[in-house]
Amino acid sequence: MADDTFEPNIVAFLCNWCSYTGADLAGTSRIQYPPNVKVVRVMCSGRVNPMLVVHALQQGADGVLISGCHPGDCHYTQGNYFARRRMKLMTSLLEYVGIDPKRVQMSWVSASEGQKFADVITKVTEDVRTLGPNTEFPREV
Amino acid sequence: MDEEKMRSTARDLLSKGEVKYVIGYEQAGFGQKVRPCIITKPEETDKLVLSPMCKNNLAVYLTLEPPEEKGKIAVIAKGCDARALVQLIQERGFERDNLVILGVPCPGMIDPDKLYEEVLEEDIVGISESSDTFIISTKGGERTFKKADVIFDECGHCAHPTPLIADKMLGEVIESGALELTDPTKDMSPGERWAYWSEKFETCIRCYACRQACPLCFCEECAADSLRPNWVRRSVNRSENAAWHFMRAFHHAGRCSECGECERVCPVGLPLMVLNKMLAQEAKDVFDYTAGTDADGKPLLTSFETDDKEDFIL
Repeated sequence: MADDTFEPNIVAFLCNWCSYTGADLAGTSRIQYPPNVKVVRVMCSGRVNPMLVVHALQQGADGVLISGCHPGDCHYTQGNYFARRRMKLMTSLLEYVGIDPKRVQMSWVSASEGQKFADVITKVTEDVRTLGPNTEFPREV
Repeated sequence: MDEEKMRSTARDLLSKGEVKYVIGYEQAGFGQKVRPCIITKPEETDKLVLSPMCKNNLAVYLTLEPPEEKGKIAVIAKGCDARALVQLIQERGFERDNLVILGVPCPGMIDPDKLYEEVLEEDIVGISESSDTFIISTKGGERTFKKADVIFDECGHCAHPTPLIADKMLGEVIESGALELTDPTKDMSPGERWAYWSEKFETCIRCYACRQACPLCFCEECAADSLRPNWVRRSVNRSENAAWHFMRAFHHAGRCSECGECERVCPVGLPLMVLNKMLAQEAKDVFDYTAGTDADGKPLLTSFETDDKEDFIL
């Protein structure tokens, strides 16, 4: 790999019951995916306050991924439905003020979808790599 | 706008002891300016005024009432104020049973900045209206202005000029003349949009006047004041200001009554209503939801449909 390739920093909020377990399955199945992702385990995608996404971008993340159970499969029966509404509004707000919607993405990955998890991480990493570093938002230190 | 009817209704309510006070407007200084006031005695009701200068959203004063206080409150509500009241009732911010709503169909409120360009503030002695004009009586004679030219921009987009909820309606129903939304960033690329907004955000001094004036910002502790967790830091710079404005706009998504108080009180003139309107439009387009129209309904973000659109999900 050439030294000047931009390696994005991606924060992934994964729900404990599906996506985190899906990531675990990807690991135990020896599926390769880009090492750019930093996982934050949350109990439910409905726990992800959209301000956590803004906070991650402020702290210098180049991309954020929120992943939860498929609709209907939520461990708490409805958390991911709430998350879906919230994140739709937050991503359209961010898009409206000029932050590329590819920086904040959302996906459904179930506990049995190790391959899908790897695919999602690869896609998000590639998207954000094309966008380049997050210059809009980071905190001035 | 029927001032006499409003006064007599308020007098009636107070003398019968039906309400403990009436929130309305009174004369303040010269140029027909008004300020919000609280009237507790029937004989004081002559102080009340109702004119196209009554721009303040009075619903905000309800949220200052301690929840343990008993007794009814009467409040004068224009179309947008009534939407804020509906939203407050829906979110249990204020009990419907403790509220007497005096609905006032609203022709649009005069933007002082627009009017004072044409007439001297201190010369104005009276304001009356006809079907589509305001007649401003000044010391030097009468001037007539088309309504659309002198009202606030947000009043021009108003979809509900007649209150959707009212115990007593003080006037005839006014039809909406809602214009197209004006979006200053419509033709911009994402990069240009960020340049536009970050420049705007950078001028913010974080006085939180937008929050204080908003009838729907009634949290006991605002997330902006919270230290644990520290959602937005207090430093005034581009990143923190942007985060604050995202939070402010997001917390009003699907709730905003579009009265425009936040924009009016902003000391640096940020176009906050553009963000609010954009999210309101998004709520309408995606979830078919309009805030402040159904007092028995559920707030947008505490409800869901299993078949909500998910085209943005991977």
